[in-house]
Formats: sequence, C-alpha cells, structure tokens
Amino acid sequence: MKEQHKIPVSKVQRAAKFVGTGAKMGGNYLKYYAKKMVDPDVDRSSLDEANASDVYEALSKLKGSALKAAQMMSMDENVLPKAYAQKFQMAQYNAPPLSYPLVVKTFRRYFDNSPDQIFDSFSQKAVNAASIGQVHQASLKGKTLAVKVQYPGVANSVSSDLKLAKPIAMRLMNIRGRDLDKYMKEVEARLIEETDYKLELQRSVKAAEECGHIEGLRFAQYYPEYSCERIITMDWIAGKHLREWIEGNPGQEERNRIGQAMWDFYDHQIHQLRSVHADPHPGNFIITPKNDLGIIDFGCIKEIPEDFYQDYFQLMEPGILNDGQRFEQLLKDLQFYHPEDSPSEKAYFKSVFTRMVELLAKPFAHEEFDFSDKQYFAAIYSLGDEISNDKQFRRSNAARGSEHGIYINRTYFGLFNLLHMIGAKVKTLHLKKAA
Amino acid sequence: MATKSAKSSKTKSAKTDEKSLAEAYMRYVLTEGKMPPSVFAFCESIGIDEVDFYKFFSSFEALESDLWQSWMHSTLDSIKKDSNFESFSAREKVLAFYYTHLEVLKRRRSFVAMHWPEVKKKAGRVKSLQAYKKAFMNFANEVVEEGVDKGELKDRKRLTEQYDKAFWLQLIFVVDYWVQDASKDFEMTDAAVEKAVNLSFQLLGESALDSAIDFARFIWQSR
Repeated sequence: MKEQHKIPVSKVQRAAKFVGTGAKMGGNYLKYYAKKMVDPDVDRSSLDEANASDVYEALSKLKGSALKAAQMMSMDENVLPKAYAQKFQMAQYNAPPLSYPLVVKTFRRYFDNSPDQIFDSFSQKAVNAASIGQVHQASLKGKTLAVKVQYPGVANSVSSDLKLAKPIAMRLMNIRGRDLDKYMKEVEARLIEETDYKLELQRSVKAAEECGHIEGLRFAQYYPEYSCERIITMDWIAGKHLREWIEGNPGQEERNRIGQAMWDFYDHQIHQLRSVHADPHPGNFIITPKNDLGIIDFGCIKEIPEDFYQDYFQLMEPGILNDGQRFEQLLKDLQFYHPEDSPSEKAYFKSVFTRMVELLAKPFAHEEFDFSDKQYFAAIYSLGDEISNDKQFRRSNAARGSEHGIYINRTYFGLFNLLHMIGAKVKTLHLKKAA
Repeated sequence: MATKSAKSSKTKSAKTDEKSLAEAYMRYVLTEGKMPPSVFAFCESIGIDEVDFYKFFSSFEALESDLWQSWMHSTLDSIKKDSNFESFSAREKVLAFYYTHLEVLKRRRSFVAMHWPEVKKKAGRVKSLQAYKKAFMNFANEVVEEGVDKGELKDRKRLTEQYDKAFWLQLIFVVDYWVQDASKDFEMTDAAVEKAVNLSFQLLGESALDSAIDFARFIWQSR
C-alpha cells in the first residue's frame, strides 16, 4: 500500500520502539529465570508485571491504533494475565495533546474558517483526551458544545501499527502467527472504522434514536454542519465522569439506577439491534446531575452476525451444560475446538470452557445479579490467571474462538467490570421478558 | 491564461511586472521540465524584450530568490494578522508558522517539488534561498528571544545563539518531508510537524540534556 512505505520516518521510529521493547522483554525473562534459579519460589507474576510495564511504556508512546490495541487487550482479562491488564488500563488516560495551530488548520481545511470564526467561543486547550483525538469545549448561541478533533495521520498508520504490534501480540497471547491473522483483521477493520468520524456521526445519531426510549439514558444532539471526517461536534453533556462519580461515593439506589441503565443499554443493542457499542470503558460515560447515564463516543460498533449470535447466546442459556452433545457442538461452531485437537485435548478444553461458561453465564441465571460481588470477580480473575499459567493451555498455541467473539467478549468483560466498579444490583432478564 | 504551452508567443504581455514574469517563469519550468536555456530564449517564448526582463530581475536566480522570499513574507504576514497569534506560546507560534507556510507552498507544490532535490543536496545552501532564509531567521530569532524570556527555551549562553539555525534545519526537514509525503492532503506532514516541534522545544527547553552535561562535567572535574 502506498501509505505504508511512504511514511518511512515514523515507521522506522515505531519499529525501533517495538524492537526495543522486545529486547527488554527478553531481558526480563532472563532476570526471571536467574531469580528463579536462586529462589525457586519466585512468582511468575513479577515477570508479567515487568513485561507489562515495558510493553505499556512502548505502547503509550505510540498513540493511535497501537494504543487502541492495548486497550482492547486490556479488556480481555481472559487473554491477558492480570498484571498486563492493569497496566494497560492506564493506557486509556495517556496521550500528548494536539497543538492549537493544528486544530485551527484542521478546521480551515474542512470548513474554510477557524474555530473562533465558527463558534462564539472555543477553548484553545483540549479539555479531554480521546484515544485517537481530543475534545475542546465550545459555545454557540448559548449552547455548550463538545468538539472532538482527530489526530492527523491516525487513519494512515492503523495497518502499519498493527503489523508492528503482531509479534508482541503473538507472544502475549501465545498464538501462532497465521492463527492470529483472523483476529488482527477483525481488530483492523474496527480500528479503521473508528477513524472515520463521518461514520461515527451517523452511528451516534442512529443509536440515540434507537435507544432513546430506555429509561435513565442521555444522548447528545449532534451537529453534522460542524462535523466532517476529522471533527465531530455535539452537545456538551454536563456531569461527572464515571470514575469521578464513583469516587464521590453515591448511594446504593443511585448505583443501581446507573447500573440498570447501562445494562439495559447493552442488552437492547445486543439482542434487539444486533449491533453494539463495543467500547465500554469508563471514559465513555458521563453521569448527569439528574443521575442519568450520558453516553459519548460511538466510534467502535460491532455488528453481530446472525450465526454467531445464535451460537454464542445458546451458551448463556441455563441448562446448556447439562446437554453435553449440544454444548460440544456449540464449542465446535464457535471454533473453540481446533481441528487438530486430540481427544484428550478436547476433553481438557471442554472442561476449561465449561468452567468459563459457568462463570460468565452466572449473571443471566437469575432475575437479579449483584455485580458488587467481589467473590464472583475474584473467581473470574483467578480462572483467567490459572488458564494463562496452565501448562497444557499454554502449550497448545492454536487460536480458539471465533473472531466475532473478540469484541463481544470485550463488551461483556468491559460491561461486567464497569458494573462491578459501580457496585450495582441489576435486573438482568427483565428486557428479555418484556420482549 | 489562454496559453497552453510556454512556447506559444500569442500572449503579447498584457503588462509585464515582477509577478507576471515569475508566473511565466514557473509555467515554463514546469511545462518544459527544465530551466530556460537563456534569458533571451525565455523572453522570446513569452514574447517580451530581453531588456524588459532585466528591469525586474538580473537573472533567473534572482527571480527564484524573489519567489521564495515572497512565500516566506506572505506566510509571516498572514500569521501575524491572526488575532490569536500574539497570545500564542513560542511553540505554538512555530507550529502556526509551519502550517501556514505549508499551505502557501501547497499552491506552488509542483514547482517546489521540482526544485527541492537541488536544495536538499546542498543542505539549503543555494543562492536562491538566501533571502528566504534570512526572512525566516528573523522570525526564528524573535521566537527564540521570546521563548527564552518566557522560560520556554533554556538560555544556554553561546549555544542559544545557534537555536535559530536549529529551526532552519527543522524547516528544511519539514519541507523535505512534505515534498515526499504521499498521504491524503499531506496529513502525515501535519503529524511530522507536530512531533518535530514538540521534540525541538523539549530539547531546547530545560531537559535531561542539561543534567547529562552537568553530570559529565562534574565527573570530569572531580577526578
């Protein structure tokens, strides 16, 4: 592709960074084995942590798509040991800002006018960072607006960034290169969509229409006349960021209200619309003073194919684990089994996935589920750690699971984590009943 | 203009002035792919007397120098006209300069791109760029002075006098990157400018560099 070899400077720099990281990781392994020889009790997590911080450092310097890839992986606790996941979650809040002159240039390019000619006021400094852009506050005719501006060159570098991230991902996820490709393709497609702000605008407007009826949600109004491929203008939703709100220690009733709104929002998208906001990290939510849940940023939407939907949600049905034959068929359809698996491997993986499904389907088993349950989350994490440290699991370096699963798993892990942070009790089945 | 090729001598120059001569020259170079063999041949091709050419320029080099200088001046004029410019930090002023300058050059991209290999080969030391460089150095000096005053740049005594040269090299780098940039609307150049300017201000500002030099000096002297 022409973009790729025409940006040699940045590509070389990026590559150098990744090579540096690889070397450092090698060093960490050395240190780990050296320590282990002296003291056999050394825990592997100290190695994971050292690796995670090196990988994170390299990624945080990259911004753009590699940062998104890091965020992605950070959501999937299952794939990553806990130490990686924690480090990567920090990645969401770190990106150097765009200069005001470049913001002006971007405006001139698309609207022939500078921001202060278009708006009554416009903040020169960004008030918030998004992963591939930043947010400025503006006002027009008495309305307060949020204006999101994208970093230049992000769209161009998605593919080359991902190619560079591949060897690291292979190592982290312990998957063969050719097996990784289908996942990389899926991630690449989503990332490229995310850089298209025109598409995001359409999706935002559509989501606001289709989910507007859900109790407790708040959507912004969007302004297509001040939006383009690189800029999105929308209403400023006043309120607190989710983390901030939680730090203010709200009462249980408010927690439940917000949690329920969030659950319903996802439930409606997954089961009715079959296309879901697949970016559930705390920065995408605002709690308004009226305790409504404001949703910003519709960059990452995953459309759920019908086949996948049918198979995946059968796994969540109560009683599925008692129906051995059907369960195995589902595992096969969802590509959890690999064609090269021996019968003993099959049996092993069946037992692993049984435990996983048992855990993950738990919130769907009763009318109401208490997401503040620490034990439940400890069980999820420890299962993840156990699997990633399990010799047999690590030895099998085949990829498992359909590529559509990446974003759906990520959505559920993200959602569960958010609800846990919020500490909400949620009615998990009521929409299904009403439908 | 009605002329299809520079060779056509139909346009009995409506009015000969610096601007129209420069335009005709660029047209010639771009359509012919090389400089005119002589002032005589050039004047013949656009249908004016050679004498009229010398009223404005002594040589092609002088003409080119004038062109480059005019691009620099129009850039500086337009950024200084912007009401926000005065309130910008030194870093933002440099950024505003680059973005505006690239817009100005964009209108002449073919010509710039054609000339660039020669400029690059001589690391900017070509005669036709001298006036352009001088105008830029004035601007760079203003910015450096202001940056030092406001503490954005660190005063490193004699080294500070070289800062403007560093910015000149950066300008050469930026234009070079832009000439080779094949991304849509030269987006990658925007990113390159942003990163290059951030780096230069971090290096020239209070940075690890000072501590490193200080430390090295200490070790050296205390032994």
